[in-house]
Amino acid sequence: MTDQLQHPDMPDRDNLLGLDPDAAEALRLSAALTRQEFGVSVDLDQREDPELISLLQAVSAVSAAFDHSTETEAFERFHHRTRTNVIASIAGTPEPVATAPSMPKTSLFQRWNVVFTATGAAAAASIATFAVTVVLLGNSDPAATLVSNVQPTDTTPQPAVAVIDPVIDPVIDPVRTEPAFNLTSLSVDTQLDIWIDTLRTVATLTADGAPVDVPLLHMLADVTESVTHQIETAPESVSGAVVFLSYQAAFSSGQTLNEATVVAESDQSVLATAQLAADEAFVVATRYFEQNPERIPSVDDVSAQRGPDVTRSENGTTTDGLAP
Amino acid sequence: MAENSSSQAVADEREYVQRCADGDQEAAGLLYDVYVARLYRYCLARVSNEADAEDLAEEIFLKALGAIDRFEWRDLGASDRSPFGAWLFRIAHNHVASHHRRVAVRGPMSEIHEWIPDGKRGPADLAETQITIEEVFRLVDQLPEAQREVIRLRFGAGLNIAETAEALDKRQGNVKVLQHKAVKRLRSMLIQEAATAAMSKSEIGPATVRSLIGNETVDD
Repeated sequence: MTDQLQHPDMPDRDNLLGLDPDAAEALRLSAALTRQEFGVSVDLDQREDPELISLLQAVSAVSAAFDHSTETEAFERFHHRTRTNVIASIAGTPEPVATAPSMPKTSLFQRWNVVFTATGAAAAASIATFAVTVVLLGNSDPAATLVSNVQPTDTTPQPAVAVIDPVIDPVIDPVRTEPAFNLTSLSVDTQLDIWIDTLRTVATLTADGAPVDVPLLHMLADVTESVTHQIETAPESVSGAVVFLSYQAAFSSGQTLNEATVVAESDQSVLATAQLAADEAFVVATRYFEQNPERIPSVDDVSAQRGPDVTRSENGTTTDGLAP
Repeated sequence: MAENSSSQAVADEREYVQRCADGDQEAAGLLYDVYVARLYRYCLARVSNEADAEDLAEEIFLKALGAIDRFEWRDLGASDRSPFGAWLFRIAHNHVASHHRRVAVRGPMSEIHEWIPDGKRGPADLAETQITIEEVFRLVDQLPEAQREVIRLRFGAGLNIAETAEALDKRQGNVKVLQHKAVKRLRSMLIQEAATAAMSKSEIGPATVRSLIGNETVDD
């Protein structure tokens, strides 16, 4: 085994000249497999090149095992069953994109404030502290460490009524369990707004001990999955600040949903789906920063996204600058 | 000829992808038909559990469909290489990693892999196949992570070298080297497994085993 072979940056080579024997073997195996994949038989005698032949035999054994795993009736049933779901997931003939619900132009920061107002009030705490440190994400720069201390501005408990905020009322049809528009047609910022609005409603109900309606949980799961999906599949299109806010929203969703209750036992699966979506969102946001440490947002980035109310504390952390 | 048909398959795939992005349900079904077995095999090799592999394969495809309008068809250097396949399995790679993390937090949600009887093949056939699949998956699991992933993508998902490199964000040369190391190691392990099994049935003695294995040793 040579170290050279293990080097991850080994360049492609057009020929075998100058390569050590293992590298040459790697290229020969690759070439032979490529020929096989194109249906060209590898015309070699066992005595002529026993090494390559035995490697190809090993590949055949492994490939055959993989192939066998899908040559079963169980797999065929699965294929048939899920194909229907896949087709159903496509909207069919493209329809005009639904107009995004009219959202008041409040900042995300204000929306966060409201979310935690409800939670904090129910907890009878004068200050609800929501702290998330980016240190968890592996950045040791104190300036990049964000701590949000959100103080409720209104400690009046929200009414324990399963009424969805009028702002997003048109979005959810109480009969259907899906949003009446295509979430992916909205900007990620708007989706984040919807996420936070929905979470606020869930938090309010939960804090008041009221069960959460299924359409609301569906909405929370859908918007969480949609934002997560965008972060995972098109990370270059999402700013670090947005991912950081998603990270916070996921964290908060997980906390809130752990406390949430539903009316019927049969609704538990919907609650579990929303919890899974929150877990997934948390993992994806964390991985985003693991894979893109340069995108960990600065205080200024988050401040710009959330509004001007973020200040830096003496110890280098950053707080949302509301007075206690 | 085969190269041409491969290029044609990729050209068809490009059309399906475009039609999917336009909301064409038939194209979505066709694209699913192309990839479902490959996705399932890849997932099964990673989770060793049929039920989880089914769930994951479907989730991954639906996730990709949801983002297909943001997918950009980017040439991988030859007409027979599918950037869609590479993109799909990059999503799969990440999605299964998320699954593992969730399971690590919550604990496994189902029992370890257990093959379900299948009426399609005869009992003898089936027993032989089951052992083979289980053994191979177990051996693949013993490979170092990078080699393991190359084997799953190359021979489970059926990606070619260029697509595998794209999916793993590695250079093609590196993938070839990882593939070679993995296959060598698998060959050694397969020989040792076969020899051990034969010995346990007292069909051959230790000397024969040594001669079977020859100079083969499991690489470090």
